[in-house]
Amino acid sequence: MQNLRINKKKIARFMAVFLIAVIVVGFTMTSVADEPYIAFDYDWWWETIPAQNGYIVDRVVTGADLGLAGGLRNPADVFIYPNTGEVFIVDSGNNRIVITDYSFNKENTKVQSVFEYGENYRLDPQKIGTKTTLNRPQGIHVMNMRGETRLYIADHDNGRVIACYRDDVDSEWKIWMEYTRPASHLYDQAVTFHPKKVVADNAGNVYICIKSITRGAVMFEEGGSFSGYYGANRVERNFNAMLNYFLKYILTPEQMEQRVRPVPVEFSNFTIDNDGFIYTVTEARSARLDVLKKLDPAGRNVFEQQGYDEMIWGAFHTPYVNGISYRSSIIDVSVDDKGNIFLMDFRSGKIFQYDYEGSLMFIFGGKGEQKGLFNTPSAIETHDEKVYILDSVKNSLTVYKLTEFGELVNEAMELFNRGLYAEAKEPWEEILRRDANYYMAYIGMGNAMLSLGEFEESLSYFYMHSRGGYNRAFKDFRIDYIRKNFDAFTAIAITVTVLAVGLNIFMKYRKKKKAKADTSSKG
Amino acid sequence: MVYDLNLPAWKWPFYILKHPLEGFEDLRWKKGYNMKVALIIVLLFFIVTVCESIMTGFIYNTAYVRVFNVVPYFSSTILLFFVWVVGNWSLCTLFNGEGSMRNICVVSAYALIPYIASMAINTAATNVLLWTERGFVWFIMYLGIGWSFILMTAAMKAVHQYSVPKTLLAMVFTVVAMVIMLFIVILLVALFQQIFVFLYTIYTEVLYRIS
Repeated sequence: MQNLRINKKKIARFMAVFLIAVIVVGFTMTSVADEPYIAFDYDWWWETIPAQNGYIVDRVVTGADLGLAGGLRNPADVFIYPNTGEVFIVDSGNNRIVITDYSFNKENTKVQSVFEYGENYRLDPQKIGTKTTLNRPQGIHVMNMRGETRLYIADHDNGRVIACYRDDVDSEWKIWMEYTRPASHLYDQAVTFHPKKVVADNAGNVYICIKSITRGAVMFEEGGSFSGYYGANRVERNFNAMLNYFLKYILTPEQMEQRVRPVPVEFSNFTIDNDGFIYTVTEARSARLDVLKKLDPAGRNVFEQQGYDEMIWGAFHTPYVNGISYRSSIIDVSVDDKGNIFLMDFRSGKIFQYDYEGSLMFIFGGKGEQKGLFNTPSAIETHDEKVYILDSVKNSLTVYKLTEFGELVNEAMELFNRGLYAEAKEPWEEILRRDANYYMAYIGMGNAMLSLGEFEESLSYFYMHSRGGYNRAFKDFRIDYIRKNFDAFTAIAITVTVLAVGLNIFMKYRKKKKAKADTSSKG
Repeated sequence: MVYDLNLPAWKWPFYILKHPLEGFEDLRWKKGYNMKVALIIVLLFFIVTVCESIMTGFIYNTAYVRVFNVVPYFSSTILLFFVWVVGNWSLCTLFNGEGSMRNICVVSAYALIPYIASMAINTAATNVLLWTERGFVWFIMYLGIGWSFILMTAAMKAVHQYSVPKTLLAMVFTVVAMVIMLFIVILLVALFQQIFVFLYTIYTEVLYRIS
């Protein structure tokens, strides 16, 4: 009995301590911000491995936050104009453009849905002064051209792209140019002209992405004349293309006409970086080639020249759930001023961040209802290390910011890409302390060790991470190894030579002796 | 030049390497077939293949070494070798081939030596060579394969006493025979598995009824 009572006391004390511990642990745990998505990375065998989060949600902006009457309805595109710090949102469902800034306050938000033909309008002088409205606009592009700010809007259902200017920052946008369906015979008149996205380069050329055209973007000169197509995808290698290749030797040209011609998959979105390279993405799930292209002004794919045009962008694996394939479908691309490439995957709601050479940096986001997840993402934009994603069903703009880990990676990557491998060693080491799975850190450490002359260390970092890096490190390691052990190598070489020569002489001597013995026995 | 052909069993493979065209005829004439040597060579074939997948230098290694499974290597070396022997024997006995199963086994094993050697050399060489020096690796590999192919043709020719065209034809059809054999084996395995499952179901059913 006595013992039992003591035990009860002990149990009670233990329970009390345990409860306090649980409460303390519980409180400390809630202070950790956890995201509704799981960050992951790919290893050497392209298997998914858990990773640290590079981005967390900063805030989610809705139409109400911006003080918009009617809120946002199916917003289609977002553009950030860094010169003035303005954020342009294409409020497609309400047929208007919302102009705000990074603070996303009601005070700084403007709306424009009616556009006046300005006095610069050249096509039809009679229209000057009249007004027009948008009909389901889909894309927007803002740029500075010869000191003048220009706004391009892909006015989808009206079948035109309007180019606007403004007198000063506070005044309304006025139209000075319209790009409509070209009358040229090069443009198939059976094809509709519904601009989906638009960009313009520094020379004033306007590129228009149209869903029904597979030959690339429709390109206009600044003055409005049609100048051809730009940057089509390559034809997919599929069974039909292979069959056609063989059939063209057998069939007559007339018969070949009857067959379905292999056509490239049209690209669905594009963006232009500060150096004038145009990045296109292809949304169609059947597309395996040219999901992401980086085009130079002549329309050639830079990735093709650099040898990684066969790379798989977006999710590597294709999960099948209930017979539906969840293959990546990249709907938008954004490039920041460091050249990092952000891809928005519609299927998984994930954002894939690559550096300018296509090394995967972060994967974040996902599908769902919580903050930081998406229902129907429609556009992505980056500025000042923040990522802005527009959701056309949730009608919101999600802003992501870098985590401490993400900042570290950015710092290391910047040094790494400038070729300062040794200087990048410290941040990479810190990154590996925080996330031993981070793939690029091994390549960074390998390069750092290589430039510091520690070849063996370098090899161990490159092992299972980079064949090219391992090769480079091994080249130096091998020469270094031979130099350091030159005496031993020489000694071995001399010994082997002496032994071989000696053995040869000995064998000859023995043979001679044997032959002598044979002849003497015979005789 | 006159050679002393009263060689011990272990010296025959080396003699054949030096005389790819005459060697097997001499082997046949001297009745130098030795099963023990042949089995050692086949075992070496297996060991070297396994070593190649594990020990090839990282720059050249394409094997999935994270999960190592010895069974595929076993079936692609030892099993495949004996399927070749059985396939060749069953085909050539029907077409006036003179080789017995034992003799075919021995000469086929001897013919594999250059291939095994090239694999072993490459496994070592890939640990010291860079990717830019891959020409040496490919050279040794093609040399090994080519030499082994010549030896195998000479072996089949000598052991069955065929003409060269007939030998080549027999080798092609041996491969066909191997495919048929493997197909039947897989079919049998699948069939027996179903029978096993059926019997097991009956067993469990009876078990439930009794208890």
